[in-house]
Amino acid sequence: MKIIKHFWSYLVMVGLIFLLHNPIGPLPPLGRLFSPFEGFLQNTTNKSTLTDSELNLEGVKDEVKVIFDENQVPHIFAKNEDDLYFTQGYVMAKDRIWQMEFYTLVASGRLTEVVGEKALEFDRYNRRLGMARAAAKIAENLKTDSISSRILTAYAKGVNTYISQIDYKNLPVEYKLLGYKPAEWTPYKTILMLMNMRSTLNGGSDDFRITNVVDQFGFETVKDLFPDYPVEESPIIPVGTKWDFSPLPVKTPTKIMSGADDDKLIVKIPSPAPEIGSNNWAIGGSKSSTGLPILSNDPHLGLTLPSIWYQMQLSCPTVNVYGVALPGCPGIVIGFNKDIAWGVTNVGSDVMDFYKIRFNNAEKTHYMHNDKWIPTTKYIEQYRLKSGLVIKDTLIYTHHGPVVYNESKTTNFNKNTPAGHAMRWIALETTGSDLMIFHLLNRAKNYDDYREALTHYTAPAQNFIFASNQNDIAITPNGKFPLKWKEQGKYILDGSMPEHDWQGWIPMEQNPTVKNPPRGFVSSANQFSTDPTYPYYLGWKFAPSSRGIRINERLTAMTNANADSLRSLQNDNFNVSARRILPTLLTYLESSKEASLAPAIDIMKKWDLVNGPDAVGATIYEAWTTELGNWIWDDEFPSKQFLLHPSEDRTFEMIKKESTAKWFDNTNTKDKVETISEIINGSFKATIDSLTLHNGPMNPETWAWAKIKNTSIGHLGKIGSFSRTGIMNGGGKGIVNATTASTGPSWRMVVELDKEWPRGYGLYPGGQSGNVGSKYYDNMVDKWAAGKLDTLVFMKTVDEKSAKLTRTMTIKPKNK
Amino acid sequence: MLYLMILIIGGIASYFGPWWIIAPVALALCWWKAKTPKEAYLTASAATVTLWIGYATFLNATADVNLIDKIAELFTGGVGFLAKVPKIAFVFTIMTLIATAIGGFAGMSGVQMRRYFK
Repeated sequence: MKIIKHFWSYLVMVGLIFLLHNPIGPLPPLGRLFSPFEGFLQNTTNKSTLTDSELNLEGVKDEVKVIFDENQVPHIFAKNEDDLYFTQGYVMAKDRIWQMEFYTLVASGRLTEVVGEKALEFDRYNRRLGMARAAAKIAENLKTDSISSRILTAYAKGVNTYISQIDYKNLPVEYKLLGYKPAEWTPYKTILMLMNMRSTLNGGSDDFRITNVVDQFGFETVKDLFPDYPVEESPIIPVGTKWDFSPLPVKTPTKIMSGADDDKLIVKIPSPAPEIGSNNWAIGGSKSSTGLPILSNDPHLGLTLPSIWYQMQLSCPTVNVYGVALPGCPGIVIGFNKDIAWGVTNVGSDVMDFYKIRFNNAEKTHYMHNDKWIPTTKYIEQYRLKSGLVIKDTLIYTHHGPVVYNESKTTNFNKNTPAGHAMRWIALETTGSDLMIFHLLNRAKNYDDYREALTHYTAPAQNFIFASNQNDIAITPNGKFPLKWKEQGKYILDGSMPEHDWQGWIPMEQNPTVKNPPRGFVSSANQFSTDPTYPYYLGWKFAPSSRGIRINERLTAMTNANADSLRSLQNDNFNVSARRILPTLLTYLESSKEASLAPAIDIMKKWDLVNGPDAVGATIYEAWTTELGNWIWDDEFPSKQFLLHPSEDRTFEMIKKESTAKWFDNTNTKDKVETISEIINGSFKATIDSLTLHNGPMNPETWAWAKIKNTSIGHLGKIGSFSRTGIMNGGGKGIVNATTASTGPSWRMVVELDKEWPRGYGLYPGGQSGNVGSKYYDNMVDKWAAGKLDTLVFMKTVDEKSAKLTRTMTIKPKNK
Repeated sequence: MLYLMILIIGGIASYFGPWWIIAPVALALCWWKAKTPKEAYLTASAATVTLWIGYATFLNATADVNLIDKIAELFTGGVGFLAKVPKIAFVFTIMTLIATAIGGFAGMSGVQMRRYFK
């Protein structure tokens, strides 16, 4: 009893410390987190955190200077390449380690380990895609590539040096909230980060949705409604460009898709995201005021904080380059050096195909291919939950790739054997090193260097745009493209037929390309790479042509242009789709007898077709065309039942030229046949009703496009208060300024090439720091929303003076 | 005197040590100086609260970004009754509760344990 009397308070204290030092359920360790000495308040920053500093680190061979400019962009000056990439890893980790690690957890399907069971389905999906296994193989292969492995190792060493220095106090606040610590960085993790990009840019498919349409309506309808080339298009390689090579032969089998199914195919593979696109263009000297090329690039991605990009300058005796890097990856991905500039947009060719697999038994030990039973490979996947619980899942591989979707139902293949769908996906190709293309572009001096660099790239295929101070401009949809028969992979393929396997690869030198075209510019906006004269099949569906059409119109008209002309085009809000269809739609609205709709119709008539921030017309147009699409198609092709809708291009063509098409009838109303006029008027009324319901009666302020669109930049870990919402800007999907609710230009760059020294302009919607407690977390957002660019500081030498340079970090080798 | 000693020695120790280091400091000093468990509890908790809130106020005042608001919003979800509480008050209340309990029980146990051994 005496002991209890004297020790109870001690036990209470120890118990409290224990409880507050460890996470309880979803709650972070509260004592640690709220202690001002160790917790989140230690993540605040002020002027004193940004002063000159000197470090002694074991990893460097020679002195390295890192000079930070007013945006906290590091300009690294090293004396050799190993030190350069070591320092790149070190400073990137210092600003972005949580984000770097987060991407690798996503790609490898390990999010459950830090956030728990709620991520299980997401993890399972990512594991089924097989990215981690492919990344491990690539990392292994790269060991034999001396340049890549040297860079990756130096970079990882830099990251790890930083990780070894951080104590709890200095951990990014996300680690404190989720209660874990950064683990060792390896070259494999860099590859995982690249896998993430492959998945973002090439990881969607409509194969299931269109196969369902074939099953229900037949090939004739699909041919009519889902054509392989749009009516209005302005392809990347200008029409008329000659193909001066003899193409490899490709044989088309008689059967082009797997057998029809009893039920609709229901899978959770997302559709390719049309808003995840990008713009780039370069004008030649004939169009610029300087007589030399100007290049522009704005990759559109999901808008996140921390930003997907990290600006930096990398300089050592063998290279001096400025641009943006991906957190977790060495080198510069989009940028410029003294002589050249380059950029990328996504190609979006069909590089993810699905094969229906016939297994021999419920254990799926063998599958049919070429009339033989081939053994499957099985892997046991283990998911470690935050609670320590381990969940297991079996992943089955065929020679096509992983079986991403196991269906339990029996099918037409054989009523008694289970079926599944295996995926052949470019992202799982393990040959080559995507890092080498960037390594070579960072150092390229001319067009020939650019062409050489291109051969070192696999996926995700990109439209690599190029400009040099020798007055060359070029663009190449580039990457590994599977050699396919026409429409191969448009529908679900038959996994038992060897003719349905990918037939090989399009030889890299036969990838579409154009240099110095007569029109004086090159450009891309994810539209079709070429017109149908290109001898190979790349895919039947690309991003809608509207951005490409607008860019090409404006560049055609442009003369005597400067960097600001290209900046203004990046911010172009003109709505090409509306120009195409609105006049036709308005003629049907003329007959409207609804007096309540008159003000809205009036707004549409007066709208200047610009998706400006204040435009009520844009608000109505965007909502209406979506609604109209559903009114026309969703009765026959319900998207909830995984049927694909025809494209906007096809829909508009039907509205304009086939006004009596049977598709206008709403098949859900049994005793009535709707006309095109009823559908257009009905959908317009529904749009206005819905907008009124959600935003109150029509009013220029509450219905302003920027208000309704509500562009937001969400925190990567979905922490609301770490995000930015309600950004006021124009644009939209299909607009050159492709800013939607959650996607948009993730980096805008314009480079004026010069014989002496180039002038770069750029900015991204975020900030260099990944720390929400720093003002450099989102300091570029407002300027980005206003469509402005910063003048980039591309230093010639380490001694260069500029008022924009704020502090220097000197790294010296540690004396052992 | 005891209050000041906990504040100063505890402050220095907290700056370098783990967040709970204030507990052994308060325990030891109260063992040495405090007369009754009640006095120890009140003095140690007051000193710990002063230290935490004081340092937090300093960090918050000199910071470029108001991180307190963002963390508060994360916990309150920005809706309901808690969202109406001023964010800084919400965060400081949590800090005060933790500091009172840790510091207070540490100080109190110093006196109680001394009595056991004497």
